[in-house]
Amino acid sequence: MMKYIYIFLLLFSGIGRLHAQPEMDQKRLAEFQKLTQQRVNDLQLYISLIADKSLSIEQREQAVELAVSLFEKDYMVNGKRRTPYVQVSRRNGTISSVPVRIYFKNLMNVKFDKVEITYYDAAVVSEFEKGTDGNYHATATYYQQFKGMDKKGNLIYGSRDRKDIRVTAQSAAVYAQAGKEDLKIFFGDITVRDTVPIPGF
Amino acid sequence: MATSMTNLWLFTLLVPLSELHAQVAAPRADTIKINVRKGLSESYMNGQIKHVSDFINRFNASTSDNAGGMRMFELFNEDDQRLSVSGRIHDAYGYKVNLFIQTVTEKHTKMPKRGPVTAKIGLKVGYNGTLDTLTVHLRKDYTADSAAYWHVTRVIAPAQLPEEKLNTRKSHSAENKVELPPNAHEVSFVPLLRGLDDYQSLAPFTPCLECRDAAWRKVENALQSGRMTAEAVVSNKIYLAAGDWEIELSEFIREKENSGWLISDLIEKNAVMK
Repeated sequence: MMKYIYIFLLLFSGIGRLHAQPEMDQKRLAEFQKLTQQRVNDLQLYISLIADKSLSIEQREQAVELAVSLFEKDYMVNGKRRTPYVQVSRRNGTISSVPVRIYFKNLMNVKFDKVEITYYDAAVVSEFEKGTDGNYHATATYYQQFKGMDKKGNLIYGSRDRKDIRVTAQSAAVYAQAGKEDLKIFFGDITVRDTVPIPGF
Repeated sequence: MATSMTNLWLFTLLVPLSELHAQVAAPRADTIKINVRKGLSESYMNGQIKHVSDFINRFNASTSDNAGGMRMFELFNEDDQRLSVSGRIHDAYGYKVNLFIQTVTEKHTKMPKRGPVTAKIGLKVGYNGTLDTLTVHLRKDYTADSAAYWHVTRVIAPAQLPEEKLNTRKSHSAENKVELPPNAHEVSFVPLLRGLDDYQSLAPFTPCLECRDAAWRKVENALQSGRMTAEAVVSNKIYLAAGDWEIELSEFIREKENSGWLISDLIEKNAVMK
């Protein structure tokens, strides 16, 4: 008898929590725009750490892992493994694409004695819009200035880039099951557009 | 027995509480507070219209009050040769710009956030070692559950692209089994580009069967065979409706305040009928 009472109570105790996922209201989506800015700040910090040659290799590799952890996980399409990538468009017309991990590794191994990266104060995040996958999508845009110098501090290469990052706010399954809709921010592909080479280079 | 029942009820009450967690939106524990060097604050960075939603906000703000004419003019590409360098607008386009500004500011025209939007993009494609441009027309649609997506309405195949025999088995798979990939946002149309690369097919982005004409099938066959690869988005125009006008937006990435998404052309709808 007790066994049936246990089963009955366990089966029906959660029924009140079963309902459709609610639409995210505009106020909540605006909060996620701010959260995205925080995540972009984190990414900017990790990029600075990756490029900082005064740090140890271990610290910089850790920064690569932290940067990669901000991005969407790899996924399978048509039996092929896909990963977020960085598309770089240069003013001379060349366009190249590399996976984000490779992009960060390349940044770690740039052949400059000193690298200086400067950012614009805050990323501009577009409004979130719901996609056909049920997730919400936006774009975060910021400017980055890159300077590569020799041992004496002479500028060897410099450019100013505009970066557009695809942002996905995914429904966190554990909360959705509990009827408490909430989202988690992940980055996707990045478009890097070389806006101006620093004069002389 | 009474004690067991009390325990059972207490246990039952605790079950829903097991899923109480901190909100995901809370700051992450791995957020390190180190000052990243920030210093760039040129005016163009604030002035630049970085996203289409930003353009719509500025358009609506400039039609909200009577002093919006000048602010509206700032939404046009100031380097357009059709707008006089001496400050005097003298040709047909200039007249149209003046008429547009006058009309939308007087009528306080508002542009809806989820109104009709179309786009025309140029894709750099590789085919058998040569590079060419594939023009794709797109329309933004919304599903019943408010999700947005861009879908292909028409393609203009590169002139040099030959006919290929269709691989019917692969085509069937692409048309019927692949769901529409999420491609709601339009910055550089990177999700669309990525989708073409991932699926080697236009089919997931072309739900309307009447859009699949001869040119579409020609491109589809080339993508499916792997002979054609989409490499980059090289041109990008978006068309928005504003009252009786259609606005063409182009992206101007340059280091000045008048940059980003700006009006590059105007089309007066129903001009003859009025």
